[in-house]
Amino acid sequence: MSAKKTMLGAPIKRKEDIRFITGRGRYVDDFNPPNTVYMGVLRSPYAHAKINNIHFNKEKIKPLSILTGNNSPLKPLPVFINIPGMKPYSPQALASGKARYVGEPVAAIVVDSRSDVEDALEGIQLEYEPLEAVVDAETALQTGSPLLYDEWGTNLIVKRTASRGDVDRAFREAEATVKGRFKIGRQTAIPIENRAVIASFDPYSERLTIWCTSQQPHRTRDTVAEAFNLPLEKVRIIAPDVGGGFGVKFGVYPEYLLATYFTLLLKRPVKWVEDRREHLMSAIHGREQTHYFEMAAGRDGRITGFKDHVVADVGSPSIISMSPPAKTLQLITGCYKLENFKVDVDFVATNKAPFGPVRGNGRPEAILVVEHALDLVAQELKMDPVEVRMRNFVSPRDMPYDSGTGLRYDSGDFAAVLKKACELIDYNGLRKQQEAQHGKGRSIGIGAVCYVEDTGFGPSKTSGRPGYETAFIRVERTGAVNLYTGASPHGQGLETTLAQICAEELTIHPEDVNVVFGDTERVPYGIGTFGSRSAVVAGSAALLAARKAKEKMLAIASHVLDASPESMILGGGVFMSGGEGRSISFRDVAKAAYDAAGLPPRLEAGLQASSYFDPPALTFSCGAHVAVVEVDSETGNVKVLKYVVVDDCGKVLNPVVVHGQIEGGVAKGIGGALLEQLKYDENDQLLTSTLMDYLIASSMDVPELEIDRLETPSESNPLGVKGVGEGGTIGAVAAVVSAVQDALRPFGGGVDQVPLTPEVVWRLLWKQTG
Amino acid sequence: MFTLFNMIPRAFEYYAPASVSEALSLLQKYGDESKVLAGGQSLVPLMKLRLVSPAHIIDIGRIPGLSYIKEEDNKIRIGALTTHHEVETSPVVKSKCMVLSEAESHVGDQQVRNRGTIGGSACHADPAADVPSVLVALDAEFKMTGSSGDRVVDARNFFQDIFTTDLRQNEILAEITVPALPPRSGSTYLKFERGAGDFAIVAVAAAVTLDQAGVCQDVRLGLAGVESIPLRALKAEEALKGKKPDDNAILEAAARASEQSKPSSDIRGSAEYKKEMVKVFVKRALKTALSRVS
Repeated sequence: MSAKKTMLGAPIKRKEDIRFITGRGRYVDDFNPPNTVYMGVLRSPYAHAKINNIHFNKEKIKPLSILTGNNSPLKPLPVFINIPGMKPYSPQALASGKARYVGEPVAAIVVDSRSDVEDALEGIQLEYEPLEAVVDAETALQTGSPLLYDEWGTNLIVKRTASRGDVDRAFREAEATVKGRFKIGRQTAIPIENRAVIASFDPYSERLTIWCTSQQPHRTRDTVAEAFNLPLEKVRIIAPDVGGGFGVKFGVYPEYLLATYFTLLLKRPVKWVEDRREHLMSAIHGREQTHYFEMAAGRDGRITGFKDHVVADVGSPSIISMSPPAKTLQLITGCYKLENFKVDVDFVATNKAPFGPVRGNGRPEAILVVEHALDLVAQELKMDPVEVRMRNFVSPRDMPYDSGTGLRYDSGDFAAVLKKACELIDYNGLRKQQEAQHGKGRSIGIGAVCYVEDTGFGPSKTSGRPGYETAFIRVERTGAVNLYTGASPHGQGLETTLAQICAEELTIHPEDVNVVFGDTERVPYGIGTFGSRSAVVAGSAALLAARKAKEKMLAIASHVLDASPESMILGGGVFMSGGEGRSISFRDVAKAAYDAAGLPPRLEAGLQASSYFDPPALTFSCGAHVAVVEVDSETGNVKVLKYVVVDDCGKVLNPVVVHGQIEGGVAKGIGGALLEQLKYDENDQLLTSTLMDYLIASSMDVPELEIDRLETPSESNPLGVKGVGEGGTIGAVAAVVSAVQDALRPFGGGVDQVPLTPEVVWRLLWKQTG
Repeated sequence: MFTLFNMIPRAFEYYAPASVSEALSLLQKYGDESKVLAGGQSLVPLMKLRLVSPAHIIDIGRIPGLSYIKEEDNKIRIGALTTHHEVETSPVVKSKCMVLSEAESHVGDQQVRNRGTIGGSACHADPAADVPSVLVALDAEFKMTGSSGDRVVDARNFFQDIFTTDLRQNEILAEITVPALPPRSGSTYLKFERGAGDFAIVAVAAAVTLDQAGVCQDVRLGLAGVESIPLRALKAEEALKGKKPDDNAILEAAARASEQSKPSSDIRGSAEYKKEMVKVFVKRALKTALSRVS
């Protein structure tokens, strides 16, 4: 039954892919309950405006129902990430009083037919009184700037600092210093599937069912039940196949509550499927930060001090806006042992879409800046940038390492991953080639960086909220297994890896393990899938649940075989009694558990077990990325020629899944470094409201990747795994930027922003201004 | 004011005439309220965005006889409904008018090229689009059919302003004629784009014909993305005509093309940058075209 090729660590193909690739996935929009009505959302055309009266154009289609912010009975959305000392605000499902960004929902309507939605929306006119807006965070901090919340008297939501040692002295005594400004543009995640919801209230059973695009169905259930004072057991959230999330499907969006409001009112299913323009203007944005950094070093290349002032533009603050800058602050020292540093982050409100996690959630920004500062130090000291890194890494001997920013790195060998990546790409050979080509018209740049990241979110105790993940396993009477997970996969490949984990433990085939997820009525309470946590936390829960089921099966097997429990072993799908040479198949034990007659005394019938795995600590993945780019000096166009990743995400459960995660992550990072940009114009309108304008990396922009690994097992979970969903992106933005910086060196220029579009690079080459 | 919701167009009536005369009478009947649909690759997105909302859509896509590529008297006649893909892959176009084939290969993506038509692209007259700059460079002829018969105008008169052509409301475009490039010609379409499938930051259509002595007999330069119409860079052409195309002459032509360009700043780049890129890409396009002279 079992074979080596299906064991953990084997490169088996993803179970879910047949469904996805052949178009048989079922997404929210594929569900069509009878009698469905359709919701449309009217959005503010102004970045900042008072909302006065509402008018209807009688010639247009009359909606079945309408709700405006000024008459909305909905409670504010609960703010999920709170920073001590931050200014108070209450995000509303519909803007009331005033709108604070272009695209903010101001009214919602419901009509009978999807084809009438836009027409009905055209029939509503809100009277606005436009206010001066501010879409730049540094301008927003100046006195006299328009204010998002008058009562605050400022746009500064909160300021956070992390420091260690004596940074002033470090700079006073420094043998070399560098400094710079680095602006990271506003970007977003771009899942293939936009947001969608169907809310359906059945008045007879008084049950509410919501299908929605969600990374965490249970939290969505809790929020909805609380928002409408519904009994928790009467609310069911289903996240069916979800076409990517990357953080933007983390929270509960206003539209989900609006659809719920309407179904409770009309007693008919209410459907809303957003279009790409709505998504780009009102789903979560991320990344945008400006850093003012300084680094001090000795002549020997040892970093002695680091200062950074971060202005983080969180847009119109919402439920999870404070998460990315807070994470940037935690990870800002990267892989380096910094004795003296001081980093401040200003969280600033502006008239732009709400902010939140986008693949990496503040981490790519941190790694980018610290890696860039190191490149500048290397340039200043005329040292090889890899050598400078080698002299400053936190070493395995330092583990566990207290970063001084609130993180405790558990393990990882940063020097080893970078060394291996450099060997793979022939770093020294490339440097020689680069020198030989210098002055011959080709501008080649090499960027070699290292990243570290906290993965496997939990534990509950230190994070102050649930950080566990759950598994419920049921071995059916045929020996087939149903595994119910609290994680909520949306493309990661968890249906495969969780099946592999159970199969390994039970010595059966992964094909015989069915993974059930995304339905609060079927799966145990879970925290969901985000922050590179599911393999770590949900995977461990699956293992422990399978182990419990196995123990019961061993007890049954020993009873049936009349053998001592200690002598029993499970292998190849067969329970064997070592001494006596008797055996019983996995399937027959399962059958015995349900047939009950032959069970040992005091053992309950059935075969199921559950586990709530709460990790004792975060676990840290790391990796090195080396990029080779060519800059067209006439146009500023950047082409990535070669790319090597050496990743260490602990034990690899399935290299196919791990490689897929890294490849996707690197593509996102290359896009982030070179292409992706949400741009607002001088009238505060979003210019990039289609995928014609907002560019993401395509297969034309990503070279063949060479991916290798080291395995430093995690000690904080029984599988020894670490998260891998975000590392590709975290490393790639920094690596591409480092490579472009390197290519620009002979021109006396340097990079100071992302994305590095051709025009930006051309200006850096020839104009010396941003 | 921005439209903030868009997926489904406003309501419209749909007609699928079976002949040119039937199409013309529908156009006559509905006038400005109507719009001709060919491949629909520009019009349908605009309707979905509700930037245009014609009350009557006249789909000429089912009219037979408007899709063909014929070589006659050193000319290539292309039916208005010929798809981008058909033009791109036509052996005649490839061998006699490489620049057009190359430009067609850059239009949108494969799905767009399968449905979009050369006539539709010409009538849409997006100054940043790929095909119009080639038609301007080659001084293509446009045959338009109306109720009172046919008339023909050349490219410099056909493209009048952004999204505006000489085509009248009661006419349809029937045919586009481009020259078959003479022997000792070389041509190319060079596009500088942010990502595959995007409109050009700038693009250059170039065709050169040399005499036996290697002197430029004819030079054609069309630019996309630099004006409110696809631009014929006449002054740049003059810089090369009658001269040997050495580096200095090429740089002079590139500088003149850049001077003549009046791009606007937008999401694809600032005006200053686009003017510089005209210089770079005219230079590169001329060098490529010259390297292809056979």
